[in-house]
Amino acid sequence: MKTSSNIFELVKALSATEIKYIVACSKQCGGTSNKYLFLFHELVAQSVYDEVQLRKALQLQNNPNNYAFTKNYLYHFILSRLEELNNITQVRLRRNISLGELCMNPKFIDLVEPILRETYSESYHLQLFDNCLTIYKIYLKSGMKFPFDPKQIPELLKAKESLLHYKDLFANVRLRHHQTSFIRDILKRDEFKNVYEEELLESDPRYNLNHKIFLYLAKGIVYYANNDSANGLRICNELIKFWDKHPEMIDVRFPQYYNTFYNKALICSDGGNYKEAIEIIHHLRKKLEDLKRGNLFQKYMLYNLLINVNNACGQFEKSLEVIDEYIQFRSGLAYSEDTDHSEQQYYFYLAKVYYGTGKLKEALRCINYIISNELEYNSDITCMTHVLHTIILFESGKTDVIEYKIGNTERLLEKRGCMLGAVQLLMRFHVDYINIRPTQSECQKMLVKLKEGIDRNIRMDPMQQNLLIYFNISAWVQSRIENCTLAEMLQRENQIA
Amino acid sequence: MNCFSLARELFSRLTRTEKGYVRKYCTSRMSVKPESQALSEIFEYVQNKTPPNPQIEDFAQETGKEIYILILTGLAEFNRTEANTVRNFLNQSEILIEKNLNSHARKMLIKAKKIAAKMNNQEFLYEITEWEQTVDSQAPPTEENRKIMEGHFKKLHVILQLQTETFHS
Repeated sequence: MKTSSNIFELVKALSATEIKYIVACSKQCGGTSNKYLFLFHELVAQSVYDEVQLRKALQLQNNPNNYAFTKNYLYHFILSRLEELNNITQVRLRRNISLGELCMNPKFIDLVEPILRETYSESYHLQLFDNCLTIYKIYLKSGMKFPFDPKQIPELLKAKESLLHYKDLFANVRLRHHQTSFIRDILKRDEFKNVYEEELLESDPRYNLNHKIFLYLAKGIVYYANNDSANGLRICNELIKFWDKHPEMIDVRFPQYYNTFYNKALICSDGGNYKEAIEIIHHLRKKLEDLKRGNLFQKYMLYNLLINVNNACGQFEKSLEVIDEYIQFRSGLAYSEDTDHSEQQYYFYLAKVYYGTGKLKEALRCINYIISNELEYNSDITCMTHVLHTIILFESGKTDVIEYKIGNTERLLEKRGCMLGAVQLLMRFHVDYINIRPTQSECQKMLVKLKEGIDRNIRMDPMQQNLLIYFNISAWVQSRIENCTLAEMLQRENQIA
Repeated sequence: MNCFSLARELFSRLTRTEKGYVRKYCTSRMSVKPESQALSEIFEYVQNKTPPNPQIEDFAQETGKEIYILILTGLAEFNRTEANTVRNFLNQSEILIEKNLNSHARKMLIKAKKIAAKMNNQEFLYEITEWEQTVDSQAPPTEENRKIMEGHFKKLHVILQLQTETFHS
């Protein structure tokens, strides 16, 4: 029989406050001797799920049913306690509706109805119309007079229909934005043609706040996919204005709030505006902490972007400061999010951080992981992994290893179609360096020549420009010419103090 | 009526068994709070119908709402309905999604859907399908996932249509 580790995953996802609350509640039912509390403590202590060990600890080796029962009981016990403790707006409102349903019992109507009325008002204000409709039904069923205008109800249904349309559009855009034909067609649709100003008029702000969020996000993705960063940025700014004007919506639509800032940071970073990108990322980090929101995946993606931006502008030390959290978030990701692409990118970013901070051994370990596991999802990263590999070997003085490997590397890059002009020049430089064994001044001349060649290639070929996003070889050569670190060179180029 | 009086009135209207359950429920929930001692004292006043000591009257008014909600929650727990169960499953799914435990959330949603379908409650079915769509939207953008999403939206349109018809009738 397959064993389920759901309970383990749930326990590992708990925060310290949640653990404390669960323990305190469980002590109320059965004291410290109860089996499920014992199991809970054992699970908290385990770093890898080991069912055999747990059954042994519980003395249930020969009683799998009893173990399964205890596990199941604990799972639901934890979930119920989390529900009590949680204060996400929609969870709280649903809880209140459940309380309001006690109005079905006539003896409680006058005492419970205020809760129902309050919940309706709050839901209406936050445009959570499903709650409003449910509450309306409770009023009807319990025979109470509906204290609001019943004409609202058809309006709410219409608003729901419209919201569904925009959610559908958003989901479609998210799933298909990488298809050029889709982007071309969608740009001809009404929502994407000249409606920008009309949207800002707020035709009926009582009903369309949620619609706007989804429409703006969908448009932002389309503009981003269409490389229209000016419009992409404009839409992000409009959304930020929206959140400033309606702060009460942040908790209700937190994933969309996160997307607004993440997207803006991404656009800024792509446009080379690293300073602003970092500011936005820090704002979002703070918001995640303040609101105690954001799941592991969102945190991982945010740190992924932060490290990438820091690396791009030479702030490797800053990346190193958050690397432990980055590694921790990554290790907690669900299996479905642990793809070849993200794995390749993750190890490459780590390698860059370690390289930039002079930890060449660690950098080499990450590079070797990518190469030996053949993580080749993104050919640009594959190419730059090999480039960084030779650079690290060069800087560690391991020219014998370069000599031994360079032929293979060149063949591999050619086979993968990654042997672009600038990369070819860099590889040639290494070969010449090994063959000539130049003096310092000769080496300087070789580097100057290499830099001219790389810059020429980059100027003429936009594809090679894209490679620099992953590793700026031009800046590396310049740093060697000026005898400074890559971090110093990148910081100077990007005017980072 | 202020919340303290509401709590007191509410408690007095409970049956004997309800009182027993609610008392146990409130005591256990209050004991895990930092101000448990003071809360228990106020709860005593709520149960006994004696006016609170003038020295703690302000505190009684302040915490009245907390006790009122606790009594209601205990009562709702005692009179658990299918609708409450579905709402619990929805809350738990939302919490699990927040914790990035999407496969766990999916299981909760299946359980909720079973009950909602039995109740023929369109509001619940709509909300459950919306959450299913949220969970599936986090999968990679493959053709297969696109079809799954299309299916969710078709279902949402149908449920909304039914919902509109029900409200109009």
